[in-house]
Amino acid sequence: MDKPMPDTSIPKIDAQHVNFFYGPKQALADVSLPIAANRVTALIGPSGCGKSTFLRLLNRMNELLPNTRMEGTILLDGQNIYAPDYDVYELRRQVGMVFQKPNPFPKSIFDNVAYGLTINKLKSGTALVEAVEAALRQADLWDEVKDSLKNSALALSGGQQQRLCIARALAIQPTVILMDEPTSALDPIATDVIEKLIAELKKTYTVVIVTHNMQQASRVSDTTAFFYLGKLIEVNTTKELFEHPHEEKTHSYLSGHFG
Amino acid sequence: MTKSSVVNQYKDRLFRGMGIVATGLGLAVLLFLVGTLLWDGVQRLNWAFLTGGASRFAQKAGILPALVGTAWLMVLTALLAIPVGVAAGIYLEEYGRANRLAGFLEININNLAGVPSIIYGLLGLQLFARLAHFGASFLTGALTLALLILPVIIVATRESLKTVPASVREASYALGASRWQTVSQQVLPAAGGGVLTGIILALSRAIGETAPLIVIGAKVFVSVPHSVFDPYTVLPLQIYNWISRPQAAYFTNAAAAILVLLVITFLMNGLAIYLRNRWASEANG
Repeated sequence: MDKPMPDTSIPKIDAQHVNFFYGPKQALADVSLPIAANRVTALIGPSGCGKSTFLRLLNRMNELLPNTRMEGTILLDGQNIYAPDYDVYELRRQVGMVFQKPNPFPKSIFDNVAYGLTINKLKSGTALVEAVEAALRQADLWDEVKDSLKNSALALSGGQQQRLCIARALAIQPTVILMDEPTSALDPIATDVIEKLIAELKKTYTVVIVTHNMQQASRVSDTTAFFYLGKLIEVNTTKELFEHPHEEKTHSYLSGHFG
Repeated sequence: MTKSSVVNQYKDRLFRGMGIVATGLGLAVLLFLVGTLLWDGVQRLNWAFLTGGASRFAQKAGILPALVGTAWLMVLTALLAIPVGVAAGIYLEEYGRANRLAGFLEININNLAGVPSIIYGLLGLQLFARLAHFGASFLTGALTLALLILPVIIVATRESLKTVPASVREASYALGASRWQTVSQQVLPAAGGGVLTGIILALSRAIGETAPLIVIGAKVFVSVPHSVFDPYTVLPLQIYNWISRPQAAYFTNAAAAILVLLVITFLMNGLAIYLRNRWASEANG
């Protein structure tokens, strides 16, 4: 883990006073969280604490759900992504996402990675082939699949599928990668591969990861934010938060009293 | 072994037995049907029968006008019903989800799928034959059958779209895809096997329809048609006509024509199964 450095630059993402509602139920209450560029930020907390909801606000995935309402501001590079004239498609190109369960398209490995590039008309022809290879290499999957690019993605193992999903997200060259419990469906070895990959990714990308696994948060992240009952309880460098939690709730969560 | 597990085993065996009897019964009826048809009709199945036209003599009568009519009617019906049915299914499932109108439409479409076909005949008679002045033409027949199978295609399309997991949609949206890109490039291809199967099964229902076509004035004694405004006949009507005659020779003709119709239906169902399997294996490598 990198030594935490004082961050004086403008945060990559800056959430300000965010409230979120599923129908009448409030899922997030007044959450303000700056997220530093080229760092891994972990969101932890017990089930239903709002950490995944918060993550999905960062690429506006929640608005695909009916009866939801968001209040507050989230800035990406200083621009409010919830402004009415903000292009949500462009946002999702900038902010990639990896889901809890590997969800490759029921298509070939190549088509999975190429999809984001072709729909956004970013690449075609040989440039497309090269971009797919580059993304698969970045996700540390190329050597395993280079001879079977035409095979179905569903034939891969769970860990390979998840790395394919990472490659798919990387292919369109986002600046932020959101990961929603990316290893919760994987075995320890596959998890280890993904965690090493995350450490590699933060050189180029800003990574926000939701995790249930506190060891994982301490292994991969620079900053950790602890959510509880829809509120952001505490945020600090991972080392500091794990060793010297300031809040009573953080302390009891970390020592396994609930969650 | 405990008493309850013995009872359970007994129940299990009983249920299996009942299942075998039920399946056997269905198969036996089908075999008996095909068997008697073959017995009665296979002697008439020859090239002349397939390529012959209407005749006053049963031995000279053939099914070419009916065969061509059925083929035309199916193609025309498919051209009309598939785009509208699939588009409506996509709209209801992917776009119109949350609103009240969609809920209202859903109930009514499911009801329409269960309306007796003769009602569609009456609707077609008034709407297409009379108001639109298409008369007793192919077009009227195709439009009527298209209406008849439209709900079936819509329901089949929706059911197949429902089987595509939400995670596929999410993955597509997360890559910056629009709704239309998501539907056309991910959801529909993933659901394609089911949609195709539904379409073919709907068409093989339409191919056997007789009642609505009688109502809208399909003829029996016609020559091979040349345009969509020509009068026409189809296999089920030809069969109906032959069966209702007193001469035994026509009964043989009917049996032979039923065999042809059955072969077409089986082929279409076979095609549906083939397409579904091919689709599935393409997706799964």
